[in-house]
Amino acid sequence: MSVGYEASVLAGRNLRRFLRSPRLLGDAITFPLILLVLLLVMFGEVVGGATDEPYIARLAPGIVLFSVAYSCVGTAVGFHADVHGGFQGRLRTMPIARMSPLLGRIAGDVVKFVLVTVVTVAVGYLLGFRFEQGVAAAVGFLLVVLLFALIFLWLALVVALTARSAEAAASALNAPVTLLLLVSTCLVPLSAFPGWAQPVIRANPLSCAHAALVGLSSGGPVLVPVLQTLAWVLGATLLLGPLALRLSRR
Amino acid sequence: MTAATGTEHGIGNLAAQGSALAGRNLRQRANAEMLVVFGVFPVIFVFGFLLLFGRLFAERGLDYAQFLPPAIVAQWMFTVANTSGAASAADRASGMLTRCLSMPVNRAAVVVGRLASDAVWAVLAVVVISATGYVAGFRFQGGALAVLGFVLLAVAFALTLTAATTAVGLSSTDPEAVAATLNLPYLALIMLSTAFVPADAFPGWLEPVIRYSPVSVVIEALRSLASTTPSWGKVWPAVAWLAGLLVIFSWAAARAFRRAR
Amino acid sequence: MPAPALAGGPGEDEAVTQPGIEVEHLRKEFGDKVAVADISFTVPGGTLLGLLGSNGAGKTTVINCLTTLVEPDGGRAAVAGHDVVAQPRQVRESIALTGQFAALDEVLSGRENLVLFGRLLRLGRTGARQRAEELLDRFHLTEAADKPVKSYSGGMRRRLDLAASLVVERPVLFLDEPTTGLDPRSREEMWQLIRQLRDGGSTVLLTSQYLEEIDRLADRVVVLDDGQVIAEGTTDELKERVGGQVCEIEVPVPEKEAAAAALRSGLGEVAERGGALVVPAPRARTLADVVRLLEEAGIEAENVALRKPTMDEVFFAFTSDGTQRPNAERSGV
Repeated sequence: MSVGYEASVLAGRNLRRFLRSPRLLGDAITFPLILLVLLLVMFGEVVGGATDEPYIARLAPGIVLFSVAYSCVGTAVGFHADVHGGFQGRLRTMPIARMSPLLGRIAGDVVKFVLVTVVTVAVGYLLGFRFEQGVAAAVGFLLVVLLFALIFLWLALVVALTARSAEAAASALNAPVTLLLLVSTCLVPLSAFPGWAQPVIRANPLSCAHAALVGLSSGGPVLVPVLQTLAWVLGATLLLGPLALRLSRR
Repeated sequence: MTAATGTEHGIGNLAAQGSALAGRNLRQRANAEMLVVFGVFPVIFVFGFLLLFGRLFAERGLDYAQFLPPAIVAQWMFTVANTSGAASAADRASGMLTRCLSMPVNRAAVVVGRLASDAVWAVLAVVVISATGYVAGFRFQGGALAVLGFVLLAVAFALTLTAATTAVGLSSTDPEAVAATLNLPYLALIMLSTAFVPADAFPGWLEPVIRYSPVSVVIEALRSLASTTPSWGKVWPAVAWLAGLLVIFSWAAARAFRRAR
Repeated sequence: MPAPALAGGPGEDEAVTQPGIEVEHLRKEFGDKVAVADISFTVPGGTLLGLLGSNGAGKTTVINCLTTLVEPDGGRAAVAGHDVVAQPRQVRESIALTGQFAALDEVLSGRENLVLFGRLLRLGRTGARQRAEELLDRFHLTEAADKPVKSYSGGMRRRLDLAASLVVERPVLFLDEPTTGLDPRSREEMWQLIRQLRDGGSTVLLTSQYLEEIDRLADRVVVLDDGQVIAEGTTDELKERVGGQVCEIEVPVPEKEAAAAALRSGLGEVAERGGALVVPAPRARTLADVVRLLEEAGIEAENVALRKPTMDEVFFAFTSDGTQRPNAERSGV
């Protein structure tokens, strides 16, 4: 179908940009790795000492999710530049499907997320992270990451289309994403939070996806957290997807 | 007006021009983004980290609400300095620096202006973080002199770091690249210190590095100044570190300043 | 009606009536700001129309409506025979736009940009590469083809932008201020390329704030001011309406006042433009009158010449109120 072809061409362009810009590449790959190592050193003893499982089993999936969520900042900045720099305008005067630029951006980012996940998991492996549930679960791990990423992709597109400047788009996403990481189970177990905060922590999309990823790597419940993640993705897609499409037509 | 009473020399000119430039620096940055950086982020960090680690450290007998805010202050002094470094690069890129240097303006006014505006941001951050900390349970438990010492040490830390980031900023014309470059050492220095966890929680082989890192030394001094028993023994190593680093960074910044045209 | 019998053959007929751009009572508001109040004009197929106006006159909004980027609030517009509101897709298949800002990917190289757009327009991988080569060659960009666009100069960027618009040849081209910010040499190169396009049979709508540009390139001009058409015609017609021929006199600065007074006494109206004195010259005799009047006043002119009004004068005449209105009709000798 022509939408698919056009989107794949544009996805190729976005990917090429990404691979060619050392800063984007560094941000996407080295940032999670540094975070992984530093947080492990910082919190390994405090948090790991309080639970039975090794801290890396919690931290590695957490960092994968945070990197993916955080990369929406880069997506928003890049998309903002396209919209305001005229590139998007040119696409819109060309006889291609209206959906193609949006889909191309999403498809390009999905490839980026796979890359980030693979690299983070590989380094996590050196630090003691293991897939203990078999190959199918490992594939499921990747699929959950990609599903989860959709939430933040939609968010990035909507923010990029409404923000007045690239900096404004970046700072509008920066704070909420960082906050979401802190109030999730990515860094410490749910029991470490005060009782009144626990329902909020539990409902955080990062916590839902995190529980699913831990289940698929170290073991634990999978179905419920996967369904919860799916609910977040569906909600975000139904709410933000049409909004992004409408904003991009303005 | 004769040449002898020009606009380039004398303390009066320096003060007037420096404050004019400081005002411009402040106005330029007084936008929504800075409101988020100085108003929203410290709140997120103070409460976020408290939520995360309050309970875990309470089990270890550590009052995290008293432990954390000095660390967030130190973290924000890094932010002030990194933002300033990027702004220096932006001034060089936009030609603002060249314009200032080509006018009969005191050479030092550019530096004074930058330091003054950074000091304002630093004080602002200290106030916001202390107030947030207060809500969370943090208290200045020493006297007024200790509070003054806390603020002065924090600002001195910010300005020492600014000297370093200015050196980096003035050697580039790409503010984004400068911000990205500065982010890495910042993350490593703040995380590999006693900012968020005490030194004994780190792996044994890393402990000495953590304990003697200048960032840890400054944070421990800040903690001491906020405690019931502020001790000079904790503060003087921080002052010594900052004095030493200031000499090195100022030299680097001055060199970059002479080369930046 | 025996129309079929009268037609001179379909091919020939098409060449004559090839549709260009038709705009009728176009209107567009943004909030309470009226960007385009009521604009109508026609660009016959295969001609180049210049849309002239200062910043904020509504040029870009007209272009955005015609290229389907924004939907007009009122009126009707058709491009290459397709309605811009009802048939946006067909319109997009008939047009190419070169906007005010180079719509290119800064990180990719020039060649990669062209290949990208070629592939999006379904030339296929090989076809897109071939076309990119041709365009790089034609727009003198082969040398810089593999450098990232962000390292390009302003002129190279504009050339690449224009090339990107031509990846697939379209019957109608929109060029929105294609030379703004270029140095004279790059501008001359762009003009040459635009002339080639016009001569190649494309319908071109060109906006510009440079009167010289319109003068050099356009078959017809539409002057916009404040969202309205305030004048329309060929460049020569507009110049004629402003006042036909003028006589321009250059005198040493200290004597300018005296010279102006002397000319005014004999010829009526005297204007000053760009340091020189200008009087309307409907007849060649005016030249002799000018020389005589100056001689009588004892002033030696540095230069006296007859010329047609410039497009600058046309522009000022139609857009500003009062000071330099068209006045040739009323001023005689």
